[in-house]
Amino acid sequence: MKRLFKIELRKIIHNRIFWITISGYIITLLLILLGMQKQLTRINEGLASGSKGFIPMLPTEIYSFPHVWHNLAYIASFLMIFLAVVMVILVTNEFAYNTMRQNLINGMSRFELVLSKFVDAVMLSAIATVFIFTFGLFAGFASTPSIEFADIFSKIPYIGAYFLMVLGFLSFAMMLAFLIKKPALVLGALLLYNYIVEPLTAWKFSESIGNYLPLKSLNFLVEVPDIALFSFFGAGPKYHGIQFMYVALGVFYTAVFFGIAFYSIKQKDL
Amino acid sequence: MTVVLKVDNLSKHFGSLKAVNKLSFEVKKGSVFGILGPNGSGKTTTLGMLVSTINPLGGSFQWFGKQPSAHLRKGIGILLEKPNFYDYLSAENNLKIVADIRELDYSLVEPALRTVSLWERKNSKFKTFSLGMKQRLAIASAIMGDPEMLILDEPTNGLDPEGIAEVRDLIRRLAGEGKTIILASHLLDEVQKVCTDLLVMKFGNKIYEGSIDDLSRTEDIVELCAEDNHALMEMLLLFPDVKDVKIEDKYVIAKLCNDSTAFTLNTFLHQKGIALGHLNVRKANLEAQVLNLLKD
Repeated sequence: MKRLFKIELRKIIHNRIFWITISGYIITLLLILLGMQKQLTRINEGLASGSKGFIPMLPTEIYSFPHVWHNLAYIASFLMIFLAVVMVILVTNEFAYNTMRQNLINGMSRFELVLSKFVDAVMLSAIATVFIFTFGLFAGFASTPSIEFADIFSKIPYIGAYFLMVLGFLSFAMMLAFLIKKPALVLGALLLYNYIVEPLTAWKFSESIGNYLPLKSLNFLVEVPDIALFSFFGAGPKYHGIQFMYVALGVFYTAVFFGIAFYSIKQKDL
Repeated sequence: MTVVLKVDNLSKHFGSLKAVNKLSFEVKKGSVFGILGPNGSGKTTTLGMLVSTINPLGGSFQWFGKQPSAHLRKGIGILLEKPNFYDYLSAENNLKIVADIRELDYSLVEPALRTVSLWERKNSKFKTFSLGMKQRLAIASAIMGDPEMLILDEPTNGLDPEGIAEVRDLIRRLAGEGKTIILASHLLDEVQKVCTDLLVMKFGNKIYEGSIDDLSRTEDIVELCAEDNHALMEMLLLFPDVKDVKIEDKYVIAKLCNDSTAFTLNTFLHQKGIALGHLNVRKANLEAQVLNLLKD
């Protein structure tokens, strides 16, 4: 495992496309997070002046402890698709340059080929998680009125849930990349499934299996935060807190995606 | 003689095409084993199965008496078809990845790069290399760590004449050190110069397996000339160990087989009252032999 980590790290450190896409992701997320607070303040001011103070104000302290962890995880979840694109590139490049085959020839087992890409998924998820954790710390200390009495870490499990959600989603992208191999087709399939197939299926079967579909159940790991801002836009949480069932499903689906990826190249000639 | 590789009834079909058809052979320790055959004869498919990139349809093979595994592959230096490396990584970083995969020490990267004269370019990215340099890097990757067993598929592909000579010298030197080498090539000349044993394939079937010497020894070509070449020809047809008699210019050319020598042939013709004005024996070159095998 350490050996695979070393190999993947060497590939990633020198991979310019990786750094460009990851920087793009982080800068975009940073701009959204920084812009959001300003925007909320502005909306509030507008509401306050228009209604002469009768309409309840939207919360501007979305980054105060301990809610910051949940809010950040939820906002960042909308940008997971960026990370999935990076994941897809990392896998399909190995097919395009025949290095997957070369690594097998040099003495990796087919299982290790998939495991080494899963190591990439873990690294990407870790980077994304460390980023929102760090941002949360700074933003939390900056916007929590009285730190001494604040309950800083009670919602920190959402950071863990975010990690599992990203890892599960990246494993799904990895599986598609192993199955389809061509980057454009993989991305097409990913977008199609993520934004059309699964939402439609979930809606059609909302009474039964809808909530247990892979991506939907991963999203339930970090539910809509129960704050006025989101209910203002008509979204409300179904559960309160992180459901054990969705943690279990997240781990289960990650394992299934890994298994399918392995099975697909176990059968194939490389 | 220890058998390093034993292949038993190996088959692979692509649809209705029998790319490799019940192929069996053995490679002895210390031999330079050439696999010859025209394009599409199944050489690369065979090697692909031996290095586990292709799943065989049937049959089996054993490396060093053991079932194939990723661990065994780490100890074999393998160069298949075109060189595959990470094009944005330097030569050195690419070999460090290979070293990590094969669980070799990084200190082996430098001597491998020096052997193929790429040490000065160790920091250049793979994508900046010429085809010949890429091929040399692939050779460096295969010989890194001094493996006892090498598989080389068209190793001189893309090299200039100097590079070809260097690779041949390298193969001879490695063979001299007692390493076992499997060399697939469609260049007969290349095989003849370095190989001790030979497997000839056609349409996925084995048509010859044995030592190069045996193959060259089986047939000699004789070149004769008499006053009446037509009478000579008729006489030659009566000699049991002669075949493929034909007239070329002023000579009669024939193949001499079954260990008959020019001496026994000359004695025979003399008894039949034919005096030769010219008698020359040529060793059949491998090219002619193999072309002959492929023709059948």
